[in-house]
Amino acid sequence: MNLLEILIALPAAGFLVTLFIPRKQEHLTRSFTLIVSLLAFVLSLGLVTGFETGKPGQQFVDNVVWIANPDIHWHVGIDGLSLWLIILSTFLTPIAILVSWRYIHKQVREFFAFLLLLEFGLIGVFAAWDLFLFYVFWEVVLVPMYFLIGIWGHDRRIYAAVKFFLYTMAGSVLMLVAIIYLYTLAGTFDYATILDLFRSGRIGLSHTEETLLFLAFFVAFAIKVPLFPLHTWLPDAHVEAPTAGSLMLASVMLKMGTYGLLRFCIPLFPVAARENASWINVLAIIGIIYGALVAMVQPNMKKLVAYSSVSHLGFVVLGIFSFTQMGLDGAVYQMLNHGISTGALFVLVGMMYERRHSLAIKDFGGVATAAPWLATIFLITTLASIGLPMLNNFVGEFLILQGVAQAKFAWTAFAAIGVILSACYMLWMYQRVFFGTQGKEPGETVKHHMPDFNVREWLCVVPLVVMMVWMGIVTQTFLPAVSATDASILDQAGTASALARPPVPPTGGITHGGSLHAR
Amino acid sequence: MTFWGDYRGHGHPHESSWTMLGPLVVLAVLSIVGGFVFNVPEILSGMFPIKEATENGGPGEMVLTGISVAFGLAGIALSWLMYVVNKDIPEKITSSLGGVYTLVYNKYFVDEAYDAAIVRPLVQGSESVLWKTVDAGLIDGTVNGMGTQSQGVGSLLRLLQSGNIRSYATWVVIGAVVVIVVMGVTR
Repeated sequence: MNLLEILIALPAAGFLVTLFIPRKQEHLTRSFTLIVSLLAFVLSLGLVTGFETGKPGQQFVDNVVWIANPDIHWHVGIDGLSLWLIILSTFLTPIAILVSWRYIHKQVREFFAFLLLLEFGLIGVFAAWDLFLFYVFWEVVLVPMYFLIGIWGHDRRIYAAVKFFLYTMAGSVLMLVAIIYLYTLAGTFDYATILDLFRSGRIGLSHTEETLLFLAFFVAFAIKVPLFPLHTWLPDAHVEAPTAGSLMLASVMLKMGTYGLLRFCIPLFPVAARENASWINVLAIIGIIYGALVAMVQPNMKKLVAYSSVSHLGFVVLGIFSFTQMGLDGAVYQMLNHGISTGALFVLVGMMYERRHSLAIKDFGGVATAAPWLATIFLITTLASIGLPMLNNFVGEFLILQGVAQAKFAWTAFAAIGVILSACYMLWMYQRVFFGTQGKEPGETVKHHMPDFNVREWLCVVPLVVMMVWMGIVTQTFLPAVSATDASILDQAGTASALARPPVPPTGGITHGGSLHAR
Repeated sequence: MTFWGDYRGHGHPHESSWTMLGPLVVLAVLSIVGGFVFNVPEILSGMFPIKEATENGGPGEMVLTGISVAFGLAGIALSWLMYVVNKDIPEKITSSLGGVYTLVYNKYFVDEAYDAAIVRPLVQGSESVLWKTVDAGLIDGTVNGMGTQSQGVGSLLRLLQSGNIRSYATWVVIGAVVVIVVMGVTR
């Protein structure tokens, strides 16, 4: 068992043990799960220190046969792409547990146990190198989230949970069909082996096959991202979910979609990915602008942040399908950034809900007077989300826009509108909630039930703010590992597409998804 | 108007504490003598590579400085005249200019025009068209419609599952007859 496997096993073991804690020992439950999640975080830092940047392939690998027939492997490993997403998961789980400390009153044991199960699934998704194993972890993640929304959510929680589950499931099943098709070709579910078979030319796909398989994977991931117009499960799920659910959903689970695009769609089906890049990028840009405009008019803070996620994730998809080094780097960086800053927004909005039992913007006003520290941290998070220099989102958005400009400048121009609109909706919300008056009564502001942070809440927000600044300034901590992996993904996409097709005359063909000067 | 004239505020004005006054004094002194003490153009020329503006020093520069200072002083004198010495003047100017005054007073209504042309259509369009019609109506309607459709098909098919063995047997017989007839016809 290597460190990565211990890290996968720890939350699963924690989940099982939590189920045996007596139901009345609520405090013990909370403390135990917090300790397990903190331990997992500390362990995950070992992945960072032990990670060798620039070393090709996966690290912390273990590859043993799980089921001999059909050929399914327990194959786990990480590279620069999955490393930071795993760290993001282990970093946010303790925060999710801390924000739920007083928020959850019913079935406390199950709630905190499910958070650990969720962490187990998330780490597994990002570590799996076998398609079957990946699919199993992908579905494992759905289960705790379904219950988190369905049991501890707000009024329309059942509707939201069922919609979330069915919608994601519909996409996953398409992906499962494609995975099985690949198995019939390759005779194995092991992803690394399948890639090798493709690259060496021992198996190949016809153009139609490749396009259909690409679309099957793509739709599954696009629902998870979510890419316009497959996004409508997201606002419902976010509004109804408890704070910890929204946090994990927005910060990590959406990244499963963009991770899948990068990990599987592009290396497996490079030609189809390039051919379809145009309309995908158009959808991404529509998502960026549309998400921002709809976010602007939301009367509910959580729904506003949810639609802003549609906009932000549009940037990530755009960066991925620019097929440029900077575009991919920015996309991965933005995945992490969005996890931190939007996660922080959900945490803060959740804290405000705990105080006023409302998420409606009109029920707030003048909060800055009553809770100045809350207002300060919220403002920093707002500015990070808008993408101000020195804060994390700036780096990601800048790299994406730069990379996309290399591919097609018009895309950058349209996407940049989203940056302006993000300032509109975030600052407008900030103004109405933290300054001004509550409702229509002049001069009336939130005076009651609006205490400032307590110690536990400080512990939740400080790490997030530290990361916003750190990722905004010291990008070298994170980017080298990401860049190296992105380069190899682009390399795979380039060589594989060259192999799969005869050389294309310079005037037409594969460049129409984006120009090929990738590196 | 801020420093002279009748008091129009509500609070009790007081002199600022030294923590505010100190930096203000430093800034005030520097704003008067700073230009003479430090060679500002030389310091800034490193940041702005275009050097033309900094090179026409000499007597011309002093003349320019003098003119701008003179204009500034004239402005101060004029406002002293209008708002402190003879307070009727602004009133007269306002009434004689009429519409022009209103136009200028409202900054040529640029804010209002911007609000009407861009902000309000964007906000209202986003709310009524994008959110309520496209998002909640069209897209989400399609999603939920697929759910409703499957439920509808299911409730129709449910009628077949009556649990009545005899009706199942009838269906089997009818089905068999249909299959045989079809096979006979197509042969």
